[in-house]
Amino acid sequence: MTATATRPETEDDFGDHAAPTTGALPSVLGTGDHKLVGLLFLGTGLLFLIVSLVAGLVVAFERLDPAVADVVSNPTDVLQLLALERFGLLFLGVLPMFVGLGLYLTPLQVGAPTIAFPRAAAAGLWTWLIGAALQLASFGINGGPWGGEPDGVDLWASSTILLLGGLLLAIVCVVTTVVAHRAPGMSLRRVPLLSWSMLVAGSIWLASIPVLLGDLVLILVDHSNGRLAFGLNMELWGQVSWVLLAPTILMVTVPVLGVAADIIPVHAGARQRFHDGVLLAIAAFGVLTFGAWARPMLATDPLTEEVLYQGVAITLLLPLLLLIGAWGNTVFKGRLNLSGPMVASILGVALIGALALVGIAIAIPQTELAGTAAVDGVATAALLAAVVGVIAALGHWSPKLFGRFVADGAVKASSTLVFLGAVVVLAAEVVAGAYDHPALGAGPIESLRDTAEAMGAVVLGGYGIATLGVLLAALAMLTSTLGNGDDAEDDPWGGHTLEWATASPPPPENFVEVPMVTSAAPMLDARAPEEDAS
Amino acid sequence: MAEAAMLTTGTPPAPVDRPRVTLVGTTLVAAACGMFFAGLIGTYLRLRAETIAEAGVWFTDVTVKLPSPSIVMVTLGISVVSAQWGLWSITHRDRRNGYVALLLTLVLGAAAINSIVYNWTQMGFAVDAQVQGVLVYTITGAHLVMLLAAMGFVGLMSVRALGGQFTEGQSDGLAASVLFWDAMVTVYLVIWYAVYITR
Repeated sequence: MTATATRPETEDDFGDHAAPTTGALPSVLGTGDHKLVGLLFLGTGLLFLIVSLVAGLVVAFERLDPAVADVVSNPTDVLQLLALERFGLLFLGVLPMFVGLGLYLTPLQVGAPTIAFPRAAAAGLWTWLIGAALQLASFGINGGPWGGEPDGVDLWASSTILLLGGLLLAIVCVVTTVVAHRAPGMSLRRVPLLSWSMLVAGSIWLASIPVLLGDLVLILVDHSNGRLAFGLNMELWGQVSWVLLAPTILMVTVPVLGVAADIIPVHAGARQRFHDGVLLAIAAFGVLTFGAWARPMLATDPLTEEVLYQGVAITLLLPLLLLIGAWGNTVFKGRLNLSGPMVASILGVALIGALALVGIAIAIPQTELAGTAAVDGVATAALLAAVVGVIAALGHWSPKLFGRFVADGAVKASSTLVFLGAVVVLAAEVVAGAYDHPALGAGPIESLRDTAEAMGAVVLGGYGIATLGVLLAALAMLTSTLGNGDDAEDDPWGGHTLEWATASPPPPENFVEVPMVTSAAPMLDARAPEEDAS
Repeated sequence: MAEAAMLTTGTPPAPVDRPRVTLVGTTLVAAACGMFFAGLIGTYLRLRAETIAEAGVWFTDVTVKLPSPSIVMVTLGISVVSAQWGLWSITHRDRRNGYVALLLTLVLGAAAINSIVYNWTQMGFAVDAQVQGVLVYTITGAHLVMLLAAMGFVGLMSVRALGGQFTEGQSDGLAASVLFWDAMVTVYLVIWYAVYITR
């Protein structure tokens, strides 16, 4: 950063949304502070993530030999838990956590005093939260896609519409901030890479989620009026599960690339090599994860036989290879510092690479993996890759988020456990798929048990390891929030981007002075003369 | 303060006027709405094509007439002009014409609602009678919601314009509302063609 300028007067536009000075409930409920809203998204998302993983554990347990495992006596209830797990991981856990990170960090990264539309962001949080609570309640009254209670199914559809609406509102705020709230001198090419990935991912989410929203509205109207178009409760899952299949499910991994792109150069102590190439590669990866065209309401042939699907599956690997090359070169120019955030970033990217390779294998018709358990493995591993990315982000930006460090060992251990769990689940599901084990939800649970016993035990182990990792991360985050970690300096890592120019945690107005940006790494530029002298 | 900042830092301060935040946000919302309807209409066309391939006809025992949807299309088409007229007038300090044009836009929106609801009564099939009913009523009903939202947005910005807001240099909110209105009309154009013209 070569110079700074006086912060503009923004009171007229952003008036009374400053952070609450008390912890009183009305202050929290009425807050427009993007940092508090972001933290609430993160905290509640983490809570729902744990609930969803526990549901996943029960489903995995049910896949064992019925003589051994019969926790849930009604087979339909297992499918209900499957829907809870998958939709919960995606829309109650991973996606909201990234939205929370975006709400908290993008204004800091782009040098904005607040998020765009702070009240809308808060409205998005509460709408999502109410929708999430209603969705959990709908499962409680035998709702959900396989539910036996029609009113419960209607409640599931309408609550999902509600929570998706809330998420979309918050995503609009994040994307608008990156597009229109940047500091002077910060062109899009100079946007920090996490913010860039949030711009790319947010755009893809804004293009994909409304399509699912449309499906849900159709299902709701149909289900309430004769069930003519989309059939009975048992048939609804097939209409909405496309968001959990490749390539769409990979949209949750886009911000992981941004997290890694911000962390790796900082912890390697070197400027990001091929910066423009990294920008382009993240954008290309994001565009390729757009998969609304692959939903069953549109597709005519089996998806994996479509040339477009096969092309996307193969092409997805190219931007990843470019990114890995750029980061490898950056580390080569700097040093390999195996800090917690660095380890978590590498594991997250490695998992996405593995997903891309398995995706190619599924897309090749001769492997006959399409429609098998392998697609379940990809879905679970993609969601867990996103969790690893969140853990990396929590470790790296904990000084800004909590004013304290999350223990480095906890970041390493939790991300490694989640990574291992994901790899175990992915490998076991691919092997099960090779033995023609069908995807979950494709048939009654009894048929799954017949063919899934051996791999089911491995999957259960993978879920257990991943859940342990998430619990450890939650504990570390809680410890840091409660003030038991080491106090952090403003810029403990020697960061490259603007969020490290302000205090840890940031003041209500984020920056005392709006910085003037002259490069993609303004903080590194500001330190360059000192480092040259030393 | 700007001069002071220049003197002390040697660089220009951040712009005091906010960037076009409302316009950018509205563009994103309009794009999301577009994807919502793209998904619905894609489903409609897919099921329609399948039904025609099997039965040779899409609408059975129902007469979907063109006049009323076409009147809605013309009405909304005119409203695009009036909305742009309102925006242009307000930003060129011709507030009287601006108010008239924005009011006219809202009246045309109300007229479109009237025609849409009238068309529903004339189509003569219930939402639960057949698959076509579910699709047509969901798509046109969702568009009606978007039309109401656009009317609310333009109405709110019109009230703000009446209060003296929006100038040539700062017309972000009004421009955003007109953009959303245009998006709503574009969506109807697609519905008009996909549902009614190619019935």
